[in-house]
Amino acid sequence: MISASTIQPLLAALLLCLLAIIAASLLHHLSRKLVSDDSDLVDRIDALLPQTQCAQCEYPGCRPYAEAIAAGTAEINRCPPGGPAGIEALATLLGREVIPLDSSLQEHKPALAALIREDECIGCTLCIHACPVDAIVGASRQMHTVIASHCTGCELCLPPCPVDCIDLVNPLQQSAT
Amino acid sequence: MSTSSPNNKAEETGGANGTGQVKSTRGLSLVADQWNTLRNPVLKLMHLHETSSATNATNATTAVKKSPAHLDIINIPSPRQLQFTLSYRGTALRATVSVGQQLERGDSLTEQLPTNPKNALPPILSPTTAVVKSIERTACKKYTKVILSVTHSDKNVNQDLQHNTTSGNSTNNKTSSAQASALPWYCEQWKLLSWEQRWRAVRDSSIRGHGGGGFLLADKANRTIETMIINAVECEPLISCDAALINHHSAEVLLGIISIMELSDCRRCIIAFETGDEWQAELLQKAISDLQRQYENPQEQQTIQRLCDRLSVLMVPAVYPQGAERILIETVTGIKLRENELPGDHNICCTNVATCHALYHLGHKGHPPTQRIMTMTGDAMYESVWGTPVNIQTVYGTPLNTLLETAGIDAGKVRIQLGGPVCGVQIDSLDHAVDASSNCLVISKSQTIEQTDNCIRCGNCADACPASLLPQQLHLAISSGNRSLAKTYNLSACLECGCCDLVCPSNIPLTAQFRDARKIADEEKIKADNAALALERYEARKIRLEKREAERRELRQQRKLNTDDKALKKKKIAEALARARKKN
Repeated sequence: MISASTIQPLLAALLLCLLAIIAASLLHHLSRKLVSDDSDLVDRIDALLPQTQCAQCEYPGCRPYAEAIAAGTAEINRCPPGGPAGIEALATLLGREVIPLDSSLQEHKPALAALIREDECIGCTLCIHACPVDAIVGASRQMHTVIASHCTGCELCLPPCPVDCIDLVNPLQQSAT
Repeated sequence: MSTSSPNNKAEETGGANGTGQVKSTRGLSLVADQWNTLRNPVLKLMHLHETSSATNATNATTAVKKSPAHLDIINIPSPRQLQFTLSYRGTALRATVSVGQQLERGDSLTEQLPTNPKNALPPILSPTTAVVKSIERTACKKYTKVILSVTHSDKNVNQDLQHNTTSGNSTNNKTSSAQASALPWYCEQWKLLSWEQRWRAVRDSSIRGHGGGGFLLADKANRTIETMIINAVECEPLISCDAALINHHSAEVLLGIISIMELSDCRRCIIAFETGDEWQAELLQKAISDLQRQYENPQEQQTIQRLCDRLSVLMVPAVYPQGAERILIETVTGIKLRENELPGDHNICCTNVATCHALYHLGHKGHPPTQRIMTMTGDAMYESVWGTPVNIQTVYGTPLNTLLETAGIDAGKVRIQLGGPVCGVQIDSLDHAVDASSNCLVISKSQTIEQTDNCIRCGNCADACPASLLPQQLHLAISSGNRSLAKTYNLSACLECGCCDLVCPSNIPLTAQFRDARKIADEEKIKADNAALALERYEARKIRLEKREAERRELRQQRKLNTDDKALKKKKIAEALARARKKN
């Protein structure tokens, strides 16, 4: 014969189990339904990158790197132009630890701008094609020049130049001289 | 012209905002007991000095504020060297002069303006005949600095000075000789100009706000203006340059005010004086009646009368920071500007009296302004050659160490603030020069600053803040490096007036902290804007390249199709030939 005093704790345990099952299934359902949007995360990571499009991270641009971070295939320390501040911002966004810049990449430098030594330019247009933000103007066999306010200092125009007439200078100096 | 009695001015503002009276504003009314409780060492010392000698007429502690006799303007010998930092509100300008070049008065040192500019940068003009001595970079490497060595300036500048100081009421002779014209109060040269040409001249002569902001007058006033507010309120305690200007040149200031009314075609013009400066209002009233009496031609009289009818004088409460543009606009019109709005968005323009005087120079003497009146104050001034705080007439570009030499003060032993005692910026090097917006130099002996304590969250700063911010929260947010939180507490609305510093019992340098934080926020914003621009251009380029690639692909296909066509034709011909051969 089962008395009421033995049934009551059993009932309570049953009730609690039931509640736990309901809560678990609810959470499981919600986690499926409210999955964080991946493209949203990419956007937010992309917004923290400096948009120099310099490819120094060894991805073809800022957005591909942001996608790689979101997918978990890239570390957050691969952006030299962003520097320590950029890594910190990414770490805060993603809840990761701040790590130093990847030493296999270039060092973090203050923002520079390209400046073409115009009397040495031969007008080959190679730098124009290399510039990711259309900041170089010029035509074939005509002198080229850099629009200082649009230059991101990505250095992509340096390697193609056959006569090495492009310098990186302090953007303030460039605008003042 | 309405009078300055309290009832009338209530009506004046009543018309504008419907409230019927001047609202008491938030801020600090610096009455005697409050000055005693101040912990800012500079102000405290100043206060002690002021009460013991009672020389400075603008001191809020003195019961009787009117003592115009003390508001003299001292002429100093013209400097041998002038120095110009080529910048306009943080933007570097490009020099067009070269070393050794001879300059005439009014020659531009910087690139000429584009002809139809929206955000054109003003030129910097040489105030006198001079030779370019050197062109170098400033210490911060951001700007170019041009040093001129003055040739013949003694004659030029001093003549002008003498004219300034003696012509207190002598403009009568000049203007009465003007012939019957719709605009009798201008010099001949100026009278010939059309309205557009005048604006062009105002822009080219680079008249900048003399109140402290340093905005270009042509940018502020060359738009639809309904209400012109002439700011005759000193922006900070102990500054008296505007009072000195009105004391000596009230007639010229009035002509300047009339010029700007006429140029901007405003519907009404309100001259705001601080309560306690009634003598200034009286001087101006007198100048108005003098001006009206001067003209006998009925047409001229009518023109003057029409303009004077739109003028009114308003006494505003003597509460610091009443001289700040946004606060003054709120007091006068009842419109509270949001932090991203400019007065021009409400068809209001707020101009300093000294700016009006600069416009007078252009319209009446026919040359761009080259000088301004500057207050030199601080406890070290009692040991200067003048023995008291003074107002001096300075040429734009005068290096600060020249001013200190003239005053007989050893620059190594004092602390110098450019700007007023409350929100002036302490400068470490004397590598600065007077420009249009430098209204005051505070020279104090005390080198040490009281120790600061932690914030005790007393909330005094929130009560004092004229912009209704929460400085204690901002302080905590900035100290903990939480910039987004500081943004939510509306850091960008801070006027940097220094009221919170004055009331803080822990003596925390709040304003300096906010100023630095704003600078960082501004830099970050520029960085973000640049990134957005780069992204936009990058995407545009990507789309363009894709489009070009698609076009090429299409072309290739077309060509392939064409070659296919040719092959088909050839085949048909071959078939036809084969058939013909068969027949044969």
